Amino acid sequence: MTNPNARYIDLLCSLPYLENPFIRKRPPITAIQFRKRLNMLDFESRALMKKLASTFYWGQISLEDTDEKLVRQANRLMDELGPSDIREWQMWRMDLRTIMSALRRRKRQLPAPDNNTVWGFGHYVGHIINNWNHPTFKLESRFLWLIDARELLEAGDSYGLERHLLTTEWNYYSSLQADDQYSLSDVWLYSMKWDLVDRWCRYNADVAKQHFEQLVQNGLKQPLAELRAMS
Amino acid sequence: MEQFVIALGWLGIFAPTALGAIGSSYGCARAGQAAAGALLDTESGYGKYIGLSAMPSTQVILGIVVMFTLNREITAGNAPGIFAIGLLTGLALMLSAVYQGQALVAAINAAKNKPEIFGLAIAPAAIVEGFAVFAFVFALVLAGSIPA
Repeated sequence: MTNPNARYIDLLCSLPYLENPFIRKRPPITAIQFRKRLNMLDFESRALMKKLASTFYWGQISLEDTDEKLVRQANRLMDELGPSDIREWQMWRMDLRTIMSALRRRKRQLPAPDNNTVWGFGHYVGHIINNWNHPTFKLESRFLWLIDARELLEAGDSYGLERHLLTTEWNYYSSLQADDQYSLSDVWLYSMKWDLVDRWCRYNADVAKQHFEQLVQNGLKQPLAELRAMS
Repeated sequence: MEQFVIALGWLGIFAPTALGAIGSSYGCARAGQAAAGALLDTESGYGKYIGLSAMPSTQVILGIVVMFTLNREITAGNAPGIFAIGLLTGLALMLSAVYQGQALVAAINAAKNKPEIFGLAIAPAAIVEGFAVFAFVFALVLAGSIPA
């Protein structure tokens, strides 16, 4: 008898449908509301969700975190997860990040990392190093998004690249289904998609302009004060 | 041996109610969880979700009616018939309530996100209910042929 996991039914039914991030101006559920809804999970599930989010949400990765720290953190978490649908999905995500990290390193004209450097995670770390000088590391047939991503990166089109990567991730997560219906995997799948919508909605050109002007003003304040003091 | 057969007869009488109650509890609980979740995400139409979550309670009502129909003086002659009809009807009612609860979880989740499909979304749950009614009706028909 198929038994939908009772613990997650009320939570999953309380979450609104997520539309394509490029259509909406804001997520259908705010970050605060979403966090409150996640409190419906039991202690163990909440702890796992927190660990997953701190490793895989861009927003929770600090600028001080090194590649090595992030890779080790991801390694530990993957070992903890064991064979599961969540692990498989996050391996794909880590492959994408590793490939993008390699493309960015190469764009900065850095040499291929040596075997002692911990810089990437997943199935293709060795393969990328071996094919460092190939434009797409000989991975274009496996990752169809890679050719466009490389072109956008080379052209310096950051906005286009971000949109392309988000679209790729959205399409990937939208095509997935958890092994068990109404399970923690379903909750994680939803939260990954919510993170993508939330991230895209934060990329607001007007807010970015205001923030930039603020930074310039703050940067100018100190030299102006120094000039005034000198005169 | 005769005592055992008579005990089976009593089991057959109460099985539709007991098994129906188990199934209805499960079905209503799951659908109720989904309805409670949907209430958090919707601004109106609360009643229809709660109403849907009560659908699997029909099975226990049908079980009670079958129990009263089967209830008679138990003898070694009629006990096997009462046992067979009662137990199988009870199992059918229980499983249909469980599966109806699962169909309702999916229906509530779908209708919450797309209110215009509400009617269509509950059709699968209604079909499952139809199977419970089949078991109920034919249990009543067969109960009439059991010797008093």
